[in-house]
Amino acid sequence: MDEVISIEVKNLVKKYGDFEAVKDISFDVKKGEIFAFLGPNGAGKTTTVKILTGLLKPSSGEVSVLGMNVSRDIDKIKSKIGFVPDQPYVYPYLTAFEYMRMIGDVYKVPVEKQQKMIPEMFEMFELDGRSSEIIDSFSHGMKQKLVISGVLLHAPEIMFLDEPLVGLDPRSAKLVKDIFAKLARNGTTIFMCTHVLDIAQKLSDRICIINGGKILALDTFENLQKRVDSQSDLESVYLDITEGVS
Amino acid sequence: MLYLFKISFLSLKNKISSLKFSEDLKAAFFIFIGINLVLIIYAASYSLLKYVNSVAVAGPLLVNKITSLFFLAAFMMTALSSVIVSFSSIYFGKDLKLLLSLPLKTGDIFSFKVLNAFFYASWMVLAGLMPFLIAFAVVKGAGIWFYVCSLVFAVPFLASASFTGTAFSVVIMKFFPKAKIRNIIFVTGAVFFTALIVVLRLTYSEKLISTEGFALLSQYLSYLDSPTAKFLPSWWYAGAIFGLAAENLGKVLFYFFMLSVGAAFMWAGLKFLAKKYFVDGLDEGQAFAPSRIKKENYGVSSAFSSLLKKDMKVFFRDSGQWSQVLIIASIVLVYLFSMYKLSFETIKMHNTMSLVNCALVWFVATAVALRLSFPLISLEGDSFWFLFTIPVKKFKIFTEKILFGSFSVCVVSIVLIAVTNYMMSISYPVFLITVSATVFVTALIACASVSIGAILPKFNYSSIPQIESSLGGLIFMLFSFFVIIVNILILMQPVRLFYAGSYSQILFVKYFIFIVLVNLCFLAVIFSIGYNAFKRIEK
Repeated sequence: MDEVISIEVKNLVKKYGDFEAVKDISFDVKKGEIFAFLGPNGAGKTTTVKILTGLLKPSSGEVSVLGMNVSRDIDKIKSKIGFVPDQPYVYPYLTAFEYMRMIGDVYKVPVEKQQKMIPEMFEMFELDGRSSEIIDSFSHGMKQKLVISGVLLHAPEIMFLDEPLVGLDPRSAKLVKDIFAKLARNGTTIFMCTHVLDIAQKLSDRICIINGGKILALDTFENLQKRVDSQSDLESVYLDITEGVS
Repeated sequence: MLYLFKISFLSLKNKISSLKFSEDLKAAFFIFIGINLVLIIYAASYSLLKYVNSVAVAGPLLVNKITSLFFLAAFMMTALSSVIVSFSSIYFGKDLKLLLSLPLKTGDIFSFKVLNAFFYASWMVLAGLMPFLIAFAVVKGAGIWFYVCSLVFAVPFLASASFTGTAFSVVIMKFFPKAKIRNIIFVTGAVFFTALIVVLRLTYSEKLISTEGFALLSQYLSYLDSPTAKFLPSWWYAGAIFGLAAENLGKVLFYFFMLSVGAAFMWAGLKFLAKKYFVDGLDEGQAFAPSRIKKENYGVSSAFSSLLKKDMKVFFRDSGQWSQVLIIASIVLVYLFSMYKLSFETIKMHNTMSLVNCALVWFVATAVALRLSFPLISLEGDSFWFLFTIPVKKFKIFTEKILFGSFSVCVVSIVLIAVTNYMMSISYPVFLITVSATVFVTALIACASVSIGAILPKFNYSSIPQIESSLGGLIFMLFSFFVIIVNILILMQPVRLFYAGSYSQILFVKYFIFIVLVNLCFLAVIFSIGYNAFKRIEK
């Protein structure tokens, strides 16, 4: 694996008033790595990923993405990253096709590439019969597939995914997993917050477990396994590490 | 059902006790504004009724006619509010799934929701009705019983209106697909409201102040004495109120009986409808025909124009916005009609009215901006993740919002000022300076609406009017009024000089430049504050 660092976080802190959502965390993610970010509800996962994508400002600490400072160079970073939020809210009165075209335009994807890729995406995610319907009529899973299609259209160097598989049917979930694995092999870095431990175990190169805003563990699955019991699956490892910590 | 009311009470109590200092301040501010509004309604009603009552022969009849029209408007407003409130509370309430899963009778849940809708739809109407009734009582010299009884009688009156609105929602829910209902209701509501404004303006006000349309005085008096919508509870309430003022017990009892029976009948009808249709209306499985837009093309667009196109599509496809457009269209229509009816016979009138017209057009611009451009930032709400992760600078996104918001405000205002100036035969130099000033003033108003919308956004809302009536909306209006006053004060001098016969082209140009500079300075300041707030939004 290439040892170029894609994401570097140093002593990151995020406060909401008196409440400290993220408490002095540091880690890095290498290029082409699938990095699973795990933790219970309210652990600080979404806050962290929002800081990494420039949606939230850090209270202190340094965050760099692709060697650029997020606070300073976010406008340059944004064209090279893609984000799939935990709630796939997209403009309800646009059609799926119009949404994809807008993504193509704002990310300056060449028209020829859009003409080729948009129908391919719709077919791959089984949205081809619904592309001219307004998004308001879509289910959660369909919206999720549309947002993922939008991110894939502009082929970012880093993909930030916050619970990307929630709401997807088993076929789509399998498809998305395969796509992520293929993208990572081709050098795309994937930062994924998830509750689906099975996916984290099978897909990720390294796993970071966060709780109460603090990193409790960060290692490969095999090394985390050794900390508990060599036969344990990720669920047992996760429960063991997070037990009694808040 | 009492248990459900207890939950509502506890929720309200907890909400009040958990208010932070800033929210306390906001609540105090709104209460202050509310009290002032009530006092203004009282003062205006008292002046109007006292003046009208003193008119020889027709005075007392005119007072009664105005009162019955006021009650008719209150009835329609309560019914309309109930349509909207009952729909969002009964069929789309966030607590509905929880309530239906509890071991409670469906009928009780429905009744609880109906009474809730009655409360929320009528309290504000009652708050407006009370100062009017007090003014009426003072003018008529009514005793203490008037105050007590008019309040008691208001309950069946407003209940009838509210139950009528709720019944309308229940029937609509039965026959239309649920996914389309919200849109249908909002548009129906807006049409209802628009029709109310236009009809009241175009018919009654002209008739009430003039006897020209009547061949004989007796015909005019008989028109004034005739009931206003005599089969509606608003007329029964008016009858009871007139009976109270005249201390006519028989009349009071008769109309109170009619009101009570009417409310009971509506309640029984509503329960009947609920038994037949309520559960059907809740059915998620109703056929839903999704909207299809066939056009698919691959034209090249810049990021900026792509966002602009997105905003236009979202705006025109959202029927929540259509209702706003209908309301604006009614305001414009009523304004144009009013100006058309006015006649100016003296130079002094021309002088005054050209400035008053300017101010009124700018007020219309404020109303348009409040409805169309102020909510733009708040409406992005949950989609900020998209806006702030795309590779488009925030400055560009904010500018696009201002450009999109300004278009409708400026077009409406410029057309309005030009048409009304033409109708009033305003002289060319004054015509030119007022239209030119309008371009800059309305651009500033539109920019301020988006900027203040970014400074004080309201992301938790269930309908667009909630965004408009937020603290930000209020501050925008105050700012806008300030801008209007400043600009009118500047314009006064050249217009006055023109009508005084001291017209000088150089002077007009100087004043115009002054207006441009003042507005551009304000614009730069409010844009800068708004943009900084926009950059800081964290969602």
